[in-house]
Amino acid sequence: MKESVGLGKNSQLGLTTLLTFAILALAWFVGFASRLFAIVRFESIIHEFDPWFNYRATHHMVQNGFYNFLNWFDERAWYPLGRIVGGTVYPGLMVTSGLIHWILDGLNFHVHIREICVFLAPTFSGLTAIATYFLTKELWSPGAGLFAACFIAITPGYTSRSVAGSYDNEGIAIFALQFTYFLWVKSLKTGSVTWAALCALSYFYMVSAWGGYVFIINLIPLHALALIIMGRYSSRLFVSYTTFYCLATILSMQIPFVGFQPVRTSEHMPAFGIFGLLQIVAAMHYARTRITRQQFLTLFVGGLTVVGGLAVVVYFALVWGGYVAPFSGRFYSLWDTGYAKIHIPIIASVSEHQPTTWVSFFFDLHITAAVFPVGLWYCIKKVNDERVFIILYAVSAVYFAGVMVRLMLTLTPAVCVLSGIAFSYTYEKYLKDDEKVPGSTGSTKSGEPRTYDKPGKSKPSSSESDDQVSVNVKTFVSVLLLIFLLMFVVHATYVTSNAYSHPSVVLQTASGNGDRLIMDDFREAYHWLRENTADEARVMSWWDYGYQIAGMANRTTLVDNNTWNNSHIALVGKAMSSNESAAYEIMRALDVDYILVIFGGVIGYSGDDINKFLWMVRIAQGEHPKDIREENYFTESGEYSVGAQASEIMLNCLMYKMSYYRFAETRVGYNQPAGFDRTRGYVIGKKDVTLDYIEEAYTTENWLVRIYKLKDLPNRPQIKPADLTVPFRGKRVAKGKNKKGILLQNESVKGKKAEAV
Amino acid sequence: MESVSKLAILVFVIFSYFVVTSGVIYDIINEPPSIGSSYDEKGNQKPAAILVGRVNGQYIMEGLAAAFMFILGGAGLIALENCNDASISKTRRVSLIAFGFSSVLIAFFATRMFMSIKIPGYTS
Repeated sequence: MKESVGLGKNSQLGLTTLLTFAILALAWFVGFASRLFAIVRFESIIHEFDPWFNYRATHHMVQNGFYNFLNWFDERAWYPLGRIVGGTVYPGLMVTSGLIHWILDGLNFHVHIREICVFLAPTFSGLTAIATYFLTKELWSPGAGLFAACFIAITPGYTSRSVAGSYDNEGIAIFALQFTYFLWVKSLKTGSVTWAALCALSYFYMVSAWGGYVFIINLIPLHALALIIMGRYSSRLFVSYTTFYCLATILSMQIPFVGFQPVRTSEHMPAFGIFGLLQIVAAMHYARTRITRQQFLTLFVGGLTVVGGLAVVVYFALVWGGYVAPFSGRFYSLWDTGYAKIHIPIIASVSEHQPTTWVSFFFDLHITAAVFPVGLWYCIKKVNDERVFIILYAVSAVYFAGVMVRLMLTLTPAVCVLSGIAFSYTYEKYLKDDEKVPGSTGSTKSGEPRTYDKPGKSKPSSSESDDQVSVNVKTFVSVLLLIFLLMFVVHATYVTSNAYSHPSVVLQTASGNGDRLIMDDFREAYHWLRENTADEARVMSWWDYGYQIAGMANRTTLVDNNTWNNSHIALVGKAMSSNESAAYEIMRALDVDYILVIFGGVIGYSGDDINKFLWMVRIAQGEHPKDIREENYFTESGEYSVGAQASEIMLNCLMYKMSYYRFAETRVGYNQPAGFDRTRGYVIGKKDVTLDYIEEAYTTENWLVRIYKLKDLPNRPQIKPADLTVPFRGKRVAKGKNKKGILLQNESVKGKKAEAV
Repeated sequence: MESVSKLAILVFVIFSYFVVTSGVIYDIINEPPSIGSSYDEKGNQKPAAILVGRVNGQYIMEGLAAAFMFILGGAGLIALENCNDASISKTRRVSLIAFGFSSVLIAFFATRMFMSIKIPGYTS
């Protein structure tokens, strides 16, 4: 620093650029590296459920070309309905990895598409960090931007969705989200059509990548509305918003899955409404300079009332007429938190749609959960046009994060930005006179240069009054904050390593002496299906495993994680919760060949089908309330149990039978009684399970996956010829006048007459 | 007028942040007890403030306490920032520093303690 002052402004700029570049590169590298736990521990494998479909689709696209992918009708899913994949998928993810694959191929780096899919999310985390840097730089200062970039590179809330192998839409969508916001803020600041058009392009990428784009198309209008209400309307806002809205709407309609939704659904209507409002406000501003105040007020109040009233009437008329779809159930469940539980059990059943507890906030955000309001306060204190945006973003995202665990993901970038601002601002205050007292920085400098070095430099020190806190206290506070930052790094690594790096396709436990035990039951079962069943065999399972069966076993499934058809899922749920004979009828009707259940009772795996079973019952009840009643599956005291008190219906349903068939023959521990279920922690209610209509086909090593085969219909009872004692009583055709072969008019054939003629 | 309304916004934001982080929406939907209970080795029932072992579950009081700690940490940081102002008196400055410093530390260690009770393996 000291030498650079002498060398002039140029080298100061060079140093700043170099530092910025180095810090961002380091953030990218650290973010990438910390997401590789799963690969180091296991292997380069696709994780969980949805990524398997994304991988399968990407593979299909790479093999058959983009247009064949868009036209792909997948007859191996949702049997017998099938699924139009090209029209029901956000293709951004597949196209991105396909593009990378194509470029690498062009450079003669031949990489299997799976590797690209596995490493895509960690790579994009670096891009997210850079986009966050730019966003925060526009909102506050470059120093805050670097803090924010470092935060988002490792923050667990974002890592949870972007570890290597978690090949999902969110992995690239958060980058698109941050970049769109950056371009929006930039275009608002400059009022330039170019930036607004770029913002629309980035929005287009976001639309192609993730359904969360609805958040953007509502947040940006909200920002515009807030600015108008606060009296901060400017021609910059008009130019950027109108450009953005027109281009973004047209671009987003190019995605087949989105189609005409931007002009036909209620979720997109606020953006349109603000577009109209902005025109009115602009006209008012134009008129104000040309007419008297009295005329203006009349025009303003009168015009706004008439137009507003008209807009509301037209909107409801369009909804009533069916031209504009009302808000969807998923949307309602965000506001009325009990809505999903009552009306759409399929949404409520997903674990990541559960409401958030405080643990998630701490787990995903750590110190930034507490620092975040501070940054928010600074933004409110020194508010300007673009800071209104981050305030609105933060407040809305906090609410959504509270409603659904899954939406912690959209909160995390806002938290990182605001925490970056808070840390940067505080450090600016506490390290300001570092040139006067070089000792105070020397002690902290060695600790973590990349996180704190920048803010001190971003604002060259200006001498203020000496009436400040003493240097010792300043050092003390700086070191304390630095320790917190270090604890954040430790926490982020711990959480990433322990909580978010499990493929969930392969399970890992520790044995008594500390060795790692790998349980590969899922892949064992899927491999068995792949090798030992007919190619067109249809496998019924609960929808969680649909994508995995399609991806790994390459067999036709009935339902999968794309839960678009509730009644089909309810039918499978009904089969699982009915008794064997009723289930057999449903399964025959659905052409089922094999049934797959996940059973964790032997090894104590809690995510198995028995624990999910209540949701199957609930979903089945939603569609077939006459046949399935949830209360029939509880004990008399109203608990959910498969133990001795379990109800008779519970003990005879297909799910129970398939899970516990032959279970009593084995023992999970030396001192445990037969039939002791490790997951539930008690002895099961009925040990002698017999199967009449299905037979066991395969059970994996740890009983985790059990596959059953549907028996054929029993043959009609055979009668030996000797037992044929029925005397022949037919009327012999009399010879004579009647010609041969013509039956006499007979009562019994009367009904067939019409057909025969 | 500006600063008053800004303070009002701050209070509103902090309060709603407190409400959301305490998991009130979870409490409304799942209706957990305010405090749980556990049994010690003698079989006596004793109150338990924290639902051990479940990340996606909580008691009402536990959530409120944790959210309070988040807010306390944030307030401490704001106090630390404010004490650097040139315009305030010395005693005010000292008390602000003391408040900021202690509340940041308390908040940090308290949430860590909650976490290590909640998840026994949490060591960081």
